[in-house]
Amino acid sequence: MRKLDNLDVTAKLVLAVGAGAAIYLIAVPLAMLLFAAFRGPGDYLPFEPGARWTLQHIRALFTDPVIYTRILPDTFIFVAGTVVVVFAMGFGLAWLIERTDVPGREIWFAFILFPLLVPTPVLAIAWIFLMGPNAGWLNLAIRATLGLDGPGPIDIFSMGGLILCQALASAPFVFLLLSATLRTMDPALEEASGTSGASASTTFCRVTLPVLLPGVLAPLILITLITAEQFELPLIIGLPAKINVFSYRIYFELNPLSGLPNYGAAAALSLPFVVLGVLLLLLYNRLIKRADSFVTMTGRGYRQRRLPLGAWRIPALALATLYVALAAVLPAAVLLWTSLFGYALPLSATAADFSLEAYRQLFANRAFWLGLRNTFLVALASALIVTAIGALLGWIISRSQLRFRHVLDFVSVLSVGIPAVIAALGVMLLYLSLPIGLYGSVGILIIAYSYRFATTTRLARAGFLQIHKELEEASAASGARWIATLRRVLIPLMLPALSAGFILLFIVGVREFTMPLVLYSQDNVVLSVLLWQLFQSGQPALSAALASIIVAVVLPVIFVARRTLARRTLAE
Amino acid sequence: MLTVKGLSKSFPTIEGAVRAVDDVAFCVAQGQCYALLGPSGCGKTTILRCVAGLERADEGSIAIGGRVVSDEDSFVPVHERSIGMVFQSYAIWPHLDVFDNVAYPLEVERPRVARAEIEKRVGDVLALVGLQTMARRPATRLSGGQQQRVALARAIVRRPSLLLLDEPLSNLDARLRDSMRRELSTLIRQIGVTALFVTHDQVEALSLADRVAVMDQGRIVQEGAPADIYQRPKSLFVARFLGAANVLAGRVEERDCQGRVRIALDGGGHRLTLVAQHRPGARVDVVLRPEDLMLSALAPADERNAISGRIVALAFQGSSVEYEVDVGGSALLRVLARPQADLRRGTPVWIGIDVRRVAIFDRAEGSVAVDSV
Repeated sequence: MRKLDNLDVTAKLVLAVGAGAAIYLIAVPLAMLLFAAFRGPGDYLPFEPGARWTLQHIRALFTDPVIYTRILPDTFIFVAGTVVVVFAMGFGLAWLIERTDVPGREIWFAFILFPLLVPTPVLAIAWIFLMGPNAGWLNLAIRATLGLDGPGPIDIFSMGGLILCQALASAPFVFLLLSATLRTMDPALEEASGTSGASASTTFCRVTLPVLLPGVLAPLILITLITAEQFELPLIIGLPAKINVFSYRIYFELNPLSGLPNYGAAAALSLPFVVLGVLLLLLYNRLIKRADSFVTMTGRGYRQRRLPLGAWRIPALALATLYVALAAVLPAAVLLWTSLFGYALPLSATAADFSLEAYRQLFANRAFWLGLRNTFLVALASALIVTAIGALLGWIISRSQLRFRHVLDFVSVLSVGIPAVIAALGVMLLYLSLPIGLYGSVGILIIAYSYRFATTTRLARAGFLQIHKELEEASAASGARWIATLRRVLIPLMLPALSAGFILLFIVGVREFTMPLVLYSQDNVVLSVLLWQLFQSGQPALSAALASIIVAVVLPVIFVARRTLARRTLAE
Repeated sequence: MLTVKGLSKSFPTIEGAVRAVDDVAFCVAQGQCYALLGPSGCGKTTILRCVAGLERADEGSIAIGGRVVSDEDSFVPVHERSIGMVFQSYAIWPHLDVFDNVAYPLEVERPRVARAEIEKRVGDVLALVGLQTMARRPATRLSGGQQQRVALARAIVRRPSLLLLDEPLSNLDARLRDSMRRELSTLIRQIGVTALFVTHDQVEALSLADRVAVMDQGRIVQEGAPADIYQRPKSLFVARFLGAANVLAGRVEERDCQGRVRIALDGGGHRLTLVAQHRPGARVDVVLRPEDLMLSALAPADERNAISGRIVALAFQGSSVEYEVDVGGSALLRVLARPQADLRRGTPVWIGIDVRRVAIFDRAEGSVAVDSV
């Protein structure tokens, strides 16, 4: 290939391995999914002896009344409701912190990141402790204050409760995306409108809004997609409320109350989901391109003009405090308290209620240590794999002239559009079919987690674009082979971008719950799954203790990650 | 040393393939400094990148030191060519200091170069470019001139057979450019390396190079020694590109038996008489260099080759003044002359023309140049 004339054999090999791994990690599980949807009977793996081609799963999908009466409406209300609430929260917080003179920006920022860093089951359990209809702290407090009788008034196990919790959990993500948009807007754009004679309100309508619009619409699309992919809260909070969304239904087909898993039905159900995801992603990418061409950071330092809040400072602070209390402070407090005092309430507890028994039991539990090891091992290994693949893909996409690079670009972006539950299903089908003994091991989790290379690819691409191409050519002109250029020039220069990607993926890996749950075995248990199991088996103190430990582990990460996250837009 | 034959390269664009380099051939002799000169987009950088091996030509062959490095069937990748290159941006690696930047080509050399040898050679070459005291300075804390020296040191440290320079002075400010140009010229001759460089600056090309090739739209339109090209441009394009030339349109009125032609310039009614081979009636462009014109407030003795006009603007440049003179018609003539106190804006002046330094190009024939002798 003439396009690769300057690459020696080693270079071609390394790049081919990277590209091959990327395609293998995404395309092969998806292909298995596609096969499974058209192979039956349902409890057979697609290539198991006895399986044959069939349309029965697709037919069942279109004729099952439950889909139309329950799953579609529930999914729609859940997604639409969450997007509206989470956007209001995220935009409010981002605007307060980026464009007004609200005090303590740094501190707010750190607190807002909390839900993004801890595994969702930790939050879910804390919210159940806080807003459970009978014994939730908030309900008890409200009832005591207003002299009401229980249960309620807040019922977390309802569509409203689920939407509230999902919005609280996803708000930091929207917050980060919109902060970036608000921050990168050059105030000179607005000032130019002012010096052209436009009033403040004219400027807002004619300049500020149109310039921001693509940067606001793109996160809107992305959060819609990501909400539709959610599985954790629909399982933990939605299931007791008898809310039945798409992602849970896929899990249910694999883990029915009785009988064998129905692979075919799960796969068939996944297909429209993947198609929808890809369509939303294409829309998102169009908007992002528009947003990028619009809001140009000039690079020179400019002072961000901040709106003085004046008398509005009090309500603004109250709203921010409400969010931080519900999303970070109270959950952390209720978990720590419950782990030490069990069901005893803060006002009525005595010294006799205090006990470290939960922690003692936890530390004596072999599964805890195994889960701890697995959690970090899998997060670390998958983050390394994904960072390496992302860097190679980033190089191919931004530097080579290969036509093939567009395919790789698409494949890497595709990973955002695949919900964890579907990715896990694809991996499950693949390794149940392959007789290599990976199924049920820690290895399968590492492989499963490693499909998310959109973020690192994007970061690496941005990094390569910032590195002048001549820096690379100068190395070749100095007589260095590609691999020496990679080691001595590219990797050192890319280190900031690559480590940011690595940290992000490590956090994502530690938080992961869906994939290890779908692919669960005794040997590959991770902490988030163990937490849910403990909670399911009715051991609140024990699960609170585990959740507290997870929070204690995650808290230092906030301080490491804060700068990284503050500087870079999260793509996933 | 360097032989380029039949080199062509196209780039796909939205409007279809564009031939960036179109059947280009030239040779650079051992120890020679050769310049490719042309406006941006003329294909000169593409040629340099093909010689370096950063691009592969569609057609043609390139041989460095007798070894064919690129032709239809074979292609030697960039890192296996014996070259050193100074990039337009200098491409100094920001994560390495001055010493490590310069040592890099030796460190990646296989078989390995001994550490002591590397230290010695880098020390020598840093001394050569005058950076011996800055070996441990971070690359991010270098001025433009220092970056240029580091880039040069890095390009010559492994003693390449061919030194390539891509617009080596364009990133420097005007004052620094002059001194670096002299320094570069001395240095290239001192180490005796064969050099090929591209530039869009005619002063740079004419003062640095032993031979210059002027390029336009992917082709070499004229090649020769700097003085030769400057004094005998073969086309209007070359004449224009090599100096801020005045171009006046005119028509050949008559031709006498001694080979002299009389040319009537458009507008203003001025006439020139000089030796040329153009037929009567031909439309011609007359090229007059600003520094070849003589400006005077007094009418000259021989009015045949003088044009009268009026000064409309003047720009003082220190040792000389650039006058703009309205001679009637649409064009203003630019004249470079010593400062003269009696010449001000509005002064009526005479411009004396040395007909031996006038170039005339026939419009119908394109670019056939005929000099008067």
